[in-house]
Amino acid sequence: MDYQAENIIDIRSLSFQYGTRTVLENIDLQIKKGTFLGLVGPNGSGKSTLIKCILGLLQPTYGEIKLFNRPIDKFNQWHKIGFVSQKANSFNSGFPASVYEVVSMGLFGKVGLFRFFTKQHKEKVKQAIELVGMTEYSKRNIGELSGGQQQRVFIARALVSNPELLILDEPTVGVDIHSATNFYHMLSNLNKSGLTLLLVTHDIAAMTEHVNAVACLNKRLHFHGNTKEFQENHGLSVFHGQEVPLRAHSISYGGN
Amino acid sequence: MEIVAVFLEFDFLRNAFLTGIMIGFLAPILGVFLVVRRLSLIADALSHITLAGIAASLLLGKYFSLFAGLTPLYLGIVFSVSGALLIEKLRTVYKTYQELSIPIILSGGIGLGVVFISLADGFNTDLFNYLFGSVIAVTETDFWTISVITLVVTLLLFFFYKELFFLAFDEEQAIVSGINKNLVHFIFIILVALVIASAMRIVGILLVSSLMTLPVAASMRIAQGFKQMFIFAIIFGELSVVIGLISAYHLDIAPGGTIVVTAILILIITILLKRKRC
Repeated sequence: MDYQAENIIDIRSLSFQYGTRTVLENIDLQIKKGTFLGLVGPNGSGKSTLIKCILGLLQPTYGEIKLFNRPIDKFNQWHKIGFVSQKANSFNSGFPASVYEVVSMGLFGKVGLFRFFTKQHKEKVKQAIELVGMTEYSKRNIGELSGGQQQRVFIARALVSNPELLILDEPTVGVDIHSATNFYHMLSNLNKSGLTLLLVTHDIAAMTEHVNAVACLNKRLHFHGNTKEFQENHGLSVFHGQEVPLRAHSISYGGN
Repeated sequence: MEIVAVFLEFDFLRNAFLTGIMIGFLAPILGVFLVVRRLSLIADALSHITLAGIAASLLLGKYFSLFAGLTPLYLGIVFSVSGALLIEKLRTVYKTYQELSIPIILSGGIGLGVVFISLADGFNTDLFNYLFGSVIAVTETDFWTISVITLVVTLLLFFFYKELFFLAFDEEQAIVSGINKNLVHFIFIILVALVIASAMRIVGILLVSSLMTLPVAASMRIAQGFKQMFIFAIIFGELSVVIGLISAYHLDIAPGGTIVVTAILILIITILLKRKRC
């Protein structure tokens, strides 16, 4: 990993409260270009809240977030960020949208208001569908596909605008093991081709085979380091919510 | 062919026929977005508030000559758009129970309507026409007003199609990708209010929401993809309006009833044709 690489996400002293309940406390997390980070933590540990703060869907109570070196309130290049939400698994399956139409949504923000799809846009949609191996299904309604296939479509939608950062929130929930394995391979390949990935997951065993960095969250950030370190020093004890002091922050601060 | 020819022969029937064609197009395309966003009942709330506007206009017409000469459609539109804005406001007041805004406006609309109707000394033929639609009551002013609304709504839908589609499918993702949810939703709800006020001339206030939902419900059974859903919904909407208007004229029945019954028959046929999970 290139420790001199630029920060794609830079979070400093971030706290978030729902009313009086503190969900995130004093989080410092930097994700560099080319990282494939697995964000783990027990249920209710604030993983999804952190993602929503990064995506600008929630306003942090304290602290600051920079995306691509710009403060989040001034950041407007959202097409650089692809996002596959947890909700992708529980969308309204009766919604009559074809695979092609769902993937094309990924370009709507980039195309902008009062502008229309060009031939190049249509070509990009086709390429994204091809990339996830769903070409033969492109005219099928999304609700008619299996969980694994739907997830591929949502990945294609997130990738169609050529993002530099892909954020995935529990993407393998409801997907069978075989599809999940293929899915992780696909993510690894995307990372090798230069894409920065932030993956929120419970699936630690499968994740550690593919990611190159791990962050453990349980209200506070208990660990952030490379995969090897995670396996050697912390492993599952962190995931199960035991208090582990912050010992390593090797990725963000450049030392290992 | 003779049963259709009569609609082109007389001016008042031609107005009704052409206005019906426009409504048969507008109501289902907006209905598609309402149905997929699970907001079908907004059409009911807005049609009831439109009734209050119509009743207010008829009441004012009794006392002020200015309103006597004015088509009640205008005040209906004002009430409908105001109701739409109020629904939006109420949705922010009841953040976790947003659907409450619909029954509030619906009952408010019917309540106000009843007060205005009572003050105007009860029902008259005019009001009956507004409630259940009429083949003969569409004036040339109505026709031109609805033509302008059709043009404006079609253009805006054309420009905002992709934003509306994305918001309907996945609101969170749409916001993340930079789509201005509030602006798009605001424009959409105004369009719905305009179309409801326009459609009530033909189909009647009490039945206008059915023209926005029934063709869409039928289309949903057979459409592959979102674009196809529009195409089928428009075809079913137009069939309902044309068959409904013609049979209403020849059978001397209020068109609201015949249009909705036709739409229901089409829906039943699509359900029988294809049993599919929705």
